[in-house]
Amino acid sequence: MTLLQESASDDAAAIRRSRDDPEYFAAVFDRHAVAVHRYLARRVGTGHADDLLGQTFLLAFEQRSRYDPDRADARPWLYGIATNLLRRHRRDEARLLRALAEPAPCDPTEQIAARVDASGMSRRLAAALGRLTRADRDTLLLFAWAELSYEEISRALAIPTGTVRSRLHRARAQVRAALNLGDDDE
Amino acid sequence: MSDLDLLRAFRTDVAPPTQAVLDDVRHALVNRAVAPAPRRRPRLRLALVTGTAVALILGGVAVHDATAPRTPLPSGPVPAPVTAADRLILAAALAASDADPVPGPGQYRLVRTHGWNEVGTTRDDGSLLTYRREFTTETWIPADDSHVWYLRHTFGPGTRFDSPADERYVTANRPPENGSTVLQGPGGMFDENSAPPAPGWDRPTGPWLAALPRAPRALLDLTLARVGPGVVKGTSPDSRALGQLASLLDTGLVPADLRATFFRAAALLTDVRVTENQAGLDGRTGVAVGVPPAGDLRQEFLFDPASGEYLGQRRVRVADGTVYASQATTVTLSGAPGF
Repeated sequence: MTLLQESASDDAAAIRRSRDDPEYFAAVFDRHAVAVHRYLARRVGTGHADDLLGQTFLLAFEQRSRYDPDRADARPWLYGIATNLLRRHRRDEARLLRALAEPAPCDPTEQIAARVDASGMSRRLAAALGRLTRADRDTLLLFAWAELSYEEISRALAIPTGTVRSRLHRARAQVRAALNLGDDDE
Repeated sequence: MSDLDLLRAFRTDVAPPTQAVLDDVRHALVNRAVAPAPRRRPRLRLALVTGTAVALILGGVAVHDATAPRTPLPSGPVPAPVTAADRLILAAALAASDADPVPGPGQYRLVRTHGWNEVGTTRDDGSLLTYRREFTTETWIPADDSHVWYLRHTFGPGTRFDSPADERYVTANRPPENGSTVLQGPGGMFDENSAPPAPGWDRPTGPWLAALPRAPRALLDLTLARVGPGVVKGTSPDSRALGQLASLLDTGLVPADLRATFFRAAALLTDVRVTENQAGLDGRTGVAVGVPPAGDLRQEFLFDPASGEYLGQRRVRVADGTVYASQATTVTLSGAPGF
């Protein structure tokens, strides 16, 4: 296996090598940039996501000496940094969710549709997400959008797994109630 | 359809990053990576075409295309810089996840502060002459903080003067005396002849610190109330608040969760900004943040962005960026002092 192949084989190897040879860190960026950007864009819109993407990876680069080499997958670490940076965009996220929760004022067909179809469901979903606490929303969206496991969310947010479980349970219950859905089926 | 299905389908229509954005960020990252050794040529083995990387991510295949040509780095604008507030908030998250060192049996927490303080003396004509003196303060705090603490304050040996004339005057007329003073007392009360002051900003005990608010805005408001309004001796309320937070951190007594709140409170200061990305302090390097000063000196607060560790504080001359006064704080575990 060449150095290059090793750097691509897992994040820990690339990050470990980047401590002596910082350019290796670009491999981590190339592997995760699009997915992290997508998560950020879903949270606060593409404009903010463009800035936050750079900030996330520059900060990760600075903190690479603290990366646990036993963790092959850097996603929890990167999403943890991204989530912390999102704290400063709570108002932007709230504004976005409010906008998504409201029907377009000049489009009567939209308003009719809102009562029955998926776009109406989306609005209720946006409103429900907006009502969650920041901590619960972070946890729920790391699970649903970033596709992190309980254990990975626990590492990303530096909280116990039990707290992840309880936050998810609470957040999902609130969302289900807002959508008039039944009990947990997953 | 479950709530999770609906959630996963929600906002899937966001636009992916443009190639220009990816290139800009990657460019900034590679520049940062090679910054310590700018003459080194970029290495081909890291030459990934971002499009290839995207395809690999989408396909879930962890294979690296070593033959891909390097994407030319653009010369366009780099992404928005990371703000001081972002850095502080991230440091707060790191600080909060750090465990405070816990002394074992017979061990002490040793808080060492080393730096340069402004001292003053009067000339024969009554005018004030100020200069800086080196100092070191070491405090040994027992596991049970009601037990005996030890403190050693060392003056000198260094001095820094604004002018050779000042140095000549002090050396000839008011030579500073160097040496150490050792004190001890239960619960950190080193003066047995007077009643201890009430716990507070000047005597931050564990219970007093525990009662401070963990909400950043509430803590900042409390700190601003403590330092008072208006410009005082060339300092703004915000710069005094930053200094006050730093001074409490200098005691080494602030627990991890409250340290995080301090960082988050500092992030709320108006116009807080990064003043130096690689600021050196007593052999360590960190990020310095400060607020625009009302006078000649800017109060700054330094932390390690990789660990969230508080490093110390300093005051910097606005005119030329030189460090006027500084102090660096470390907290380690130690045995009993040998005196």
